[in-house]
Amino acid sequence: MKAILEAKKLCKYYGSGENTVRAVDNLDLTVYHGEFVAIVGKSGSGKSTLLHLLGGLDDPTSGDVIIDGKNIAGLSDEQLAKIRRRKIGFVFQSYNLVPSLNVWENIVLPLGLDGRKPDEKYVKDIIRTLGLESKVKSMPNTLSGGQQQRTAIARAAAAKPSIILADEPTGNLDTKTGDEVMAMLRLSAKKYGQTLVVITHNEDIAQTADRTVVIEDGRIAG
Amino acid sequence: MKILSLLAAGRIKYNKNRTLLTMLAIMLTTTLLAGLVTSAAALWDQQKQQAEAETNRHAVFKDLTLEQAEILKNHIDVESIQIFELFASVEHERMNGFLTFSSGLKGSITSGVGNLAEGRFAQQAGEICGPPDFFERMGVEPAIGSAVTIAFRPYGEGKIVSRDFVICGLVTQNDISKLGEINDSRIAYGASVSEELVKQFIPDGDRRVNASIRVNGEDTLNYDEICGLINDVAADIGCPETDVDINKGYLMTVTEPGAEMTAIVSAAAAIIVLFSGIVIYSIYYVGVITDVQEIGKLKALGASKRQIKGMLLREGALACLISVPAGLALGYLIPYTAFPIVMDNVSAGLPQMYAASVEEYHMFSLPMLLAAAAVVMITVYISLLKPMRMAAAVSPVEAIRYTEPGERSKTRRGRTCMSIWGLIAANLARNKKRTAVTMVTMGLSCVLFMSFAGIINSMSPEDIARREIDEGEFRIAIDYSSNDKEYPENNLDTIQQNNPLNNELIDSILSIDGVNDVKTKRGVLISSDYDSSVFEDGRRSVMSYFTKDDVKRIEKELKGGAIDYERMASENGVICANAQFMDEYGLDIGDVIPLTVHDGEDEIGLTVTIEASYESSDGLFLVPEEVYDGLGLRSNTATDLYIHTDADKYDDIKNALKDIELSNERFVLYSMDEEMRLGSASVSIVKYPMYIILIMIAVIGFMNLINTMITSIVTRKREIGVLQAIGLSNRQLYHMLTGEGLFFSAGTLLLSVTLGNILGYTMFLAAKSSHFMSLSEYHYPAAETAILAAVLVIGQLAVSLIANRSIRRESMIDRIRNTY
Amino acid sequence: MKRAVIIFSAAVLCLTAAFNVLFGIAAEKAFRSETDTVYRLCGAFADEYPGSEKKAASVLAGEDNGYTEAGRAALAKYGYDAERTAFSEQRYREIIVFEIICSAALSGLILLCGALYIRAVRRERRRQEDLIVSMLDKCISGGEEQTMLENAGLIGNDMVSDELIKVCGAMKLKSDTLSEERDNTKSLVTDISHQLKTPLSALKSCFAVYKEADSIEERTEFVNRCEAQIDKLEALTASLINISRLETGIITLEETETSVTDILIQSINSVYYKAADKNINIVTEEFEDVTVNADKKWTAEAIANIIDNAVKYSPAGTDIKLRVIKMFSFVRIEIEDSGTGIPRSERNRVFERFYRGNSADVKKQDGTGVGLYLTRRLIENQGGTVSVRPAAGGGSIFVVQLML
Repeated sequence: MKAILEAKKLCKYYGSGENTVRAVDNLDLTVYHGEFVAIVGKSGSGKSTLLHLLGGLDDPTSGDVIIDGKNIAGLSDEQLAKIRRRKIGFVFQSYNLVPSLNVWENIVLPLGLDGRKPDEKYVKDIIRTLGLESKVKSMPNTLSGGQQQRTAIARAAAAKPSIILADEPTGNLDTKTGDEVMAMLRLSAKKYGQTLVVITHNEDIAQTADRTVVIEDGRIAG
Repeated sequence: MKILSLLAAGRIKYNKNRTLLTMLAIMLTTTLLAGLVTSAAALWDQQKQQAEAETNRHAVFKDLTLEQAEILKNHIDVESIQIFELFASVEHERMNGFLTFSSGLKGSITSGVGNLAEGRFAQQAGEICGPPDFFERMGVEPAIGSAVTIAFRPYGEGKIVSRDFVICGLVTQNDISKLGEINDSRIAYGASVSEELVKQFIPDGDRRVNASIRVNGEDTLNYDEICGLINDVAADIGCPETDVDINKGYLMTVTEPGAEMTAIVSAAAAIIVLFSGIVIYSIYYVGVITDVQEIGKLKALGASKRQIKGMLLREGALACLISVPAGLALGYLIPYTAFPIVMDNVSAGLPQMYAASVEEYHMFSLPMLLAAAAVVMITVYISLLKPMRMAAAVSPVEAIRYTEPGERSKTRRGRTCMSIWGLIAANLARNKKRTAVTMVTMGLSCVLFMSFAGIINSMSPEDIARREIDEGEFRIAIDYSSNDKEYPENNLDTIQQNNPLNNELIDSILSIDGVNDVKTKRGVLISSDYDSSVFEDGRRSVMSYFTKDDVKRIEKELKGGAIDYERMASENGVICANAQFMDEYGLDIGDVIPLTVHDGEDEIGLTVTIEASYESSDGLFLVPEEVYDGLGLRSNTATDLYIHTDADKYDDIKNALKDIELSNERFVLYSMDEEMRLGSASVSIVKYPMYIILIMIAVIGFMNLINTMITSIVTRKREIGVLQAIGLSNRQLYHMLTGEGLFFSAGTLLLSVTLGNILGYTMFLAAKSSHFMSLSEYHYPAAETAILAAVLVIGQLAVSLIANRSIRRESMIDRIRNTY
Repeated sequence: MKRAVIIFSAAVLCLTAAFNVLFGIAAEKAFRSETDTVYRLCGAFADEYPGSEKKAASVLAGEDNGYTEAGRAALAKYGYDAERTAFSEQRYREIIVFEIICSAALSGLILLCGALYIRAVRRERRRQEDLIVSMLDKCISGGEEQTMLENAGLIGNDMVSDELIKVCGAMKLKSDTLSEERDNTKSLVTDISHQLKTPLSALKSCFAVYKEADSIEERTEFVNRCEAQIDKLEALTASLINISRLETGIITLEETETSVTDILIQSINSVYYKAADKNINIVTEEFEDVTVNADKKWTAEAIANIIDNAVKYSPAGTDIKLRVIKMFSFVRIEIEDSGTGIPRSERNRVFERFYRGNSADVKKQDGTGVGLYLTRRLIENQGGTVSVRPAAGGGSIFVVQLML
């Protein structure tokens, strides 16, 4: 199996001296292509930091992150931004849609940032898959939480990234909606051949994952 | 209560940048206001001192008996009194000389001239004290101890008496050169003698004196009250009101700073307060929005609405505590150091008679400074009201997911492809109200800038100079009077019998190397029986003419009526060139006026009709050239010569013309360079304060700009973080911020060039019609527009750059997480 | 309180006195100014007209003869007219201004005193409130009686302090009783466990003795047991075949428009007898029928597996509840049983191949650890999900989401 995302001896420390917080401590992780990996840990276990490191949002203290065979250490901001918008799609707990843009605009935004024209058929297909057809012109603040998160998923998928990184995607949703959103995330990952890495503290959510990685104190437990 | 102060202090420390910005805004506002009132106080003080330098008397009571003077001296309301007696006229050639007696009876009345320079005042009958000019004119060396024999007629009547005097003192005098080109016969020379001498000639009962007085209460009474008091005093001593000459100029200056100044100061203060209020308001507004969670937490912990409000209020108060005194100090110190320098600079370019001769300015005014501080604090309070209400309304739950209130459109048409531009447009469209408000406030300051710039730009020294020299580079004018009964030789009609502006003179001017042309302007004296104050008591005015070529120029500045040259030529139509005073004179368009033209000794009758009116200095009436020529004038009626020259020989020609000027005492030479200098000096007197106001407006506008940018970034921190997470690079972020900023800049610029120029032109028209700074032609403020555009664009780019930097410092994750 | 009244009265008295003194001074000043004027006038007249002081004295003594009127007329031209007020005269103005400033200062002082007094009162109240609050705090955390009594003494109002002490006592009593009860429960549980252990070990030794027996009856039972084992084996084999077919792709899922009701009917039919045997009701909550894009046969099989499991692990006579909820792009089918539930640690593993729970309840039942695995494969291959979570009553809820 082909590794799409690798972390090698990854460390992220905050502070110094006695106050050092080892958010991620010497962690090795390999995610294979097409996998659905759930990273489970209590809050404060360093799982969010790990996701940020994997997505190139944050610089590691030491160690490497290799995305699709490319080590992102030492890349310029410009190159990192490019990797983020081409290889990675993010889904956040609080949806983080751009409030001034409608659903469609939000979805095609990463493409726009990359200077690409959206593949309309593909985007429409995603929208249909996620059941957002009737909402494309709506503004984010008129949508329910589930709809917003589905829009976020569509946004993450629209640029055809290899990896979707989701940070507590169901954290703000009720159980039923959360289940549905997870199902969709899974479905869209499967349908469009994306690797899915989901961070959650809810083990019930992790049930549907191919593999569950438990993080404790910045390391992989067990 | 104490905990609130602690919280407020903590917040201030925690949000250093915002606090700094707030304090800067408050300090700047205070500085501007304090500087404004201090400058105004200094300006007023300067005016007061200048008025005082002339004389500080309140009124002159004329023609009093000694007894009346004595009563006046003991009158309860009189603070100071000085009597002055015109004792005799000096009979010496054609000299206009007088012997006077003056004595300060009570208090002191200062005056600019006649102060003892050396020696003492005359005490004995044989002593005299006067200005050096007087003695020089008498042909005696002006030194103490010199003897002088003076022939005089006591009270200007009766026998001429001759006496020997010894000069006992010398007094200061008007610098004759200051007065310029005044004919010697029109200068009065006076010297003072002792009371003893006066008594020898005139019995006390017959003596008549003028009394300069000051009344009590200059500091407490207003102008009308002082005038009323003066009139009451006059009534008490039985002095008719016609003999009371109130020193209105001085009183007006001393009692109030002048409506114009008050208006300008309050307008400037209002602008400052308005704009700063908006800036302070938006800083706090943004502060509340960004701190919504903290406030929510406090509320969750049990803080009441009142406590939240109190906390914000304390925050504002703490910010004021430091910045208001600092602002006051700065606001006082800046004018304290800069005002004299500016004044000196302005004065340096001015001829002496216009120059400010003030050594020290009293500009410290505690009540005004306190008022400024109070206004600032009230402004801060008012600016805090809405943010306080907003903060108080935050509910602990809402705090977690607070979004800025705005129009909530349900859907958006949107576009299929997104780009940075799409993002910018969307963001601007989302906050339509804020976008508009920002643009309007920023635009407003720029509009004001442009309007003022338009006015300043139109204040061209050349326009002012052209008032004196209509064409060419030099003008030689005759110095004449119209109604001098005592010295008829000074009257124009007499001069014109043997006009020195004759062909010989013109030929000799033409023969100067570099002179291209000499144009002549002519005018004659007219009088009329028509019932009008200009013609009262046989008073005479000047009538000139206009040509067909002038019509276009005059029509542009026409105030009333219309010009139909042909008809006017055939029906003796005239233009009244004193439009401003027509009402006062009781003249109107359509009036038919029988005139008597004074051509030397001859008188020619002419009946004219006023057809139009405009404003110029070319006499009272202008008739068509044909009518003027048709009068059959025998004498040479030239009044002015306009000389056109080559620019490169200007200096030589000027020297030659100066010689010509000296050859005849009636010649007055106006040269373009001097007039230009005078013009630019008077322009700069107005220009400097206006520029200061402009800079104030600009500074506030810029603060507004900075605040707008910071607002738009701070409120969208998380949004920007998310955008970066989905692939917005720093460069793109910079483009986005810049794009938004430039939109504001462009909008502002558009607003200021359209509205600003329209307003500027309107203001120009208003200023022109009220004869402000002899504005006559509108000069488009092209340079200012360019500067404004450059500053807006560059400033915007700089602010975006800085904002971009600062946003990069904070890690992206923090921003995304911040608002979880 | 008394002290405050005394201080306040004293302050008011002092201020009144000061006010009177100042007023007296002002009046004295005005009088001096007036007498000086009289002296000056008399002096001037005595100088001018020696002997006129007699007249002056008589005038001062009260003789008028219209002199006031005459004097006013004479001085009118010097500006001394009748309507002139004291304020317009410099000397008197000073006195008036002095008076105004003094009274302003006094008023300020009074205000200040008032403000200080109010502050002091407030402070006292705050102090008392703080004391009460701290006492109540101690009550809650069960502080010592001694300090409480001391604190109560500091509160000015003894009624309040008494009540407070009472409240504190009552609170303490209650908390003491509570902790006693808790201890009792603990020992009770331990006792019961000890009591249970003994009969269980007796049962076990009985079974061992019974196994040694060797008769026809025992043999028949052995055959029966074998038969049961064969049945179990057959079921296991069938499941294994299904799994291998599914994984090698021999089963193709034909997704057609299918009604959820049909699927559910089919799955319930296959387990109906089993359920009826155990007297278990399968209750379906009313729902609006929706069509899904799924393979009817295999989806029904997948859901049947879940219901089968539920029947297996539910006690007899309980209900199995089925709920269908239409979501945005999925239909959510919840199957809730009242069984033993699945422990948290095993929830993730129940869908694994051959995984069987560790608890005795599970071991007791026949099972291969294949059914749920199969279900998951079938559902996920069609783009749906299946997961399990605990039900409120102790059982489990299986959640199947099928794409619409």
